[in-house]
Amino acid sequence: MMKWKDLLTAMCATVVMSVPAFAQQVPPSLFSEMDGIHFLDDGTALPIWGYGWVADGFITLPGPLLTYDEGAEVSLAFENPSPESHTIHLHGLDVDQANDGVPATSFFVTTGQSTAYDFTATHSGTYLYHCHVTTTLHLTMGMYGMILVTRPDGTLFEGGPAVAQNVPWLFSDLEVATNFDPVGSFPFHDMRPDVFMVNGKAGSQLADEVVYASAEEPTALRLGSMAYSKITCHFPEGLNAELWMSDGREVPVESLDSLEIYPGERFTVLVQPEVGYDGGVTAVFEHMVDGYEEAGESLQIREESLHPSQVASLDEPTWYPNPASHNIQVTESTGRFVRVWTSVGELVFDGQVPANGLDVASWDEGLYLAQVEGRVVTRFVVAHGVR
Amino acid sequence: MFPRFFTTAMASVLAVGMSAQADTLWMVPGGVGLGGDTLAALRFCATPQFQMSNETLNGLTSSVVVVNADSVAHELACTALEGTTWSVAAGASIELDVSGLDNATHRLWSVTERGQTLGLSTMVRSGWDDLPHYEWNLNEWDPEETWVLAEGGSLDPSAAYVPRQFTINDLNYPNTIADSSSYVQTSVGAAVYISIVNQGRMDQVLHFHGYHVDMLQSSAHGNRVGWSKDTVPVKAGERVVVRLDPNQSGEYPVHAHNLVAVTNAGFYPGGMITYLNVAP
Repeated sequence: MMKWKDLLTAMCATVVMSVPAFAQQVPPSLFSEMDGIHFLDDGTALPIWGYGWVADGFITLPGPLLTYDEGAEVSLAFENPSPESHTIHLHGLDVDQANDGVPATSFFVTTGQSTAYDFTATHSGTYLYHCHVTTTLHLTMGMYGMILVTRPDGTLFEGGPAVAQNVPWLFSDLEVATNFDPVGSFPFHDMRPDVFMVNGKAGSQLADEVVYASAEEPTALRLGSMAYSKITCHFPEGLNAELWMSDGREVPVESLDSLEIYPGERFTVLVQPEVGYDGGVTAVFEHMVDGYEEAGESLQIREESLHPSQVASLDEPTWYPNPASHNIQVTESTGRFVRVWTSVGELVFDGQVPANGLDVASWDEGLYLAQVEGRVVTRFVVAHGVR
Repeated sequence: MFPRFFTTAMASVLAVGMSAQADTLWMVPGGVGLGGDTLAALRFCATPQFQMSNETLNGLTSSVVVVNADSVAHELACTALEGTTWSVAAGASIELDVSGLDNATHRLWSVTERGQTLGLSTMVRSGWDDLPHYEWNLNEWDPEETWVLAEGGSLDPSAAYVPRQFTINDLNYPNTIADSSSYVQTSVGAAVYISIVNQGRMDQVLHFHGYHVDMLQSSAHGNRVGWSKDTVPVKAGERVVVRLDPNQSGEYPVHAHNLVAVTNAGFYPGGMITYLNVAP
């Protein structure tokens, strides 16, 4: 029988959550792997390649959100234990040639190598990063993420408006058959994505994703695309959406009812919903070759008074005791739904936690991933006989 | 009556690459090899001889004669005079007065299915001649379609469109970097202009590594003139002019970020990739 110490060790192995880890870690050190799993809306365990925090030990789709202060001198550490070479291209940050992440003009990071990408975060804004090795394949396999460069005073740019919060929405897509058979996936000129995602989620996976936005101060939607498709976002009138930035630069302010986002583009859109607003943004994916409408995703936005408890705190819930053998409790769960998955993504609990906690006595020993509604994903271990 | 674009005189032009103040263009059929495929092609050429890339026009101070050396008639259009087309029978010619346009990049093309699919489309630009000016005609190709039309057939409108070659100036990478009109060579502080026309049927989007560029013209996104971008959409038929003012030296790619378009017959790297070479 596996001991609980072994299970804790396993937490450092390469496992993948079904929810992206959109939280900065310090120090921000990335690694790449090619043996991750991403769970699709229908439960399919999809092979992915990607980036993750070294401290976490698992990769995610998309990769972790990188956040920097404007003006920061950045040294982004990167390790590649995976069996193939990779790079990090810092898309839009206008870094120098040596740090551009293009193998032909800078360098590969080969298996077992570590390096650092050095640059200055000169302009606040929304950026992307992705592997630039065999880009067509490595990108669609999942090797990308978003970068936010923000200002300590909360303004969008010098002299710009202050915002209540930044909400990153990274659009992307993938072709399931390619992820299952990357070597046999050619030719790429006929890429036909069949999963269309926002922050790595699609369909019902987005049902619990609600942005609560203030009616008093704007919320900044940080939009970027790593998709093969063109995205058109539709903004209902009650959101009072305005375009303020594109590609990390200020643009003349304009009211928006829709916005096209081509692959690689980024936009900052401020929304300030009317009191009581309950709606959202529809994102339509269209194939770039023939304009075929592939999918639509709904992204929910509610004015914050509709659910003030949701925005009161984003504290990380704590599971205790951890490891647990019979019964486990969690903070921050009052009145909220909780989902728990095994480390391979099987949903084992979906509901409200009883007052006396979850009975895990009959659960298999192992690592579990858990999400309290509206909170970040956390982990706990079930190990019978430890207490 | 011959069509006319009313004009004023042009200053001297710092032309690079293949663009020219040609006074005659020939519409010439031929064949090209692209990324392992062979395609039937039609090109606007500077002489009666077929050439790989369409001849572009810039800074014309007088009219240009267009001779149809193809075996069928073509219907020509030019964005400089919206809403009008001109029929040119096989063996016939027309005279176009495309001198004296304002600062703008335009498109001259055959609107017939045969002309469009075989690539009879080029750039007509004027102005922004105080700096070196590069020209990128974007296009994509389905080799099978070119042969169907070259042999007198017509396309099945219900058939899927699956282009498999993607080009800048009718060349795909790595041949793009041998083309002095697409491979940008400059130095820090030495700005250049780049005119981009999407001659194809699908939208494209170009990503500039290392730099942002200033948008000077965008025929489909007029509100974006004055924006600073590193990723520039160019819709089907759109005409864009950007100014690159390099602030650092190095060699950086510019490529389509619709990643199907950086392949040759499905294999990466290829297609719409070129480079910016900026000396210190």
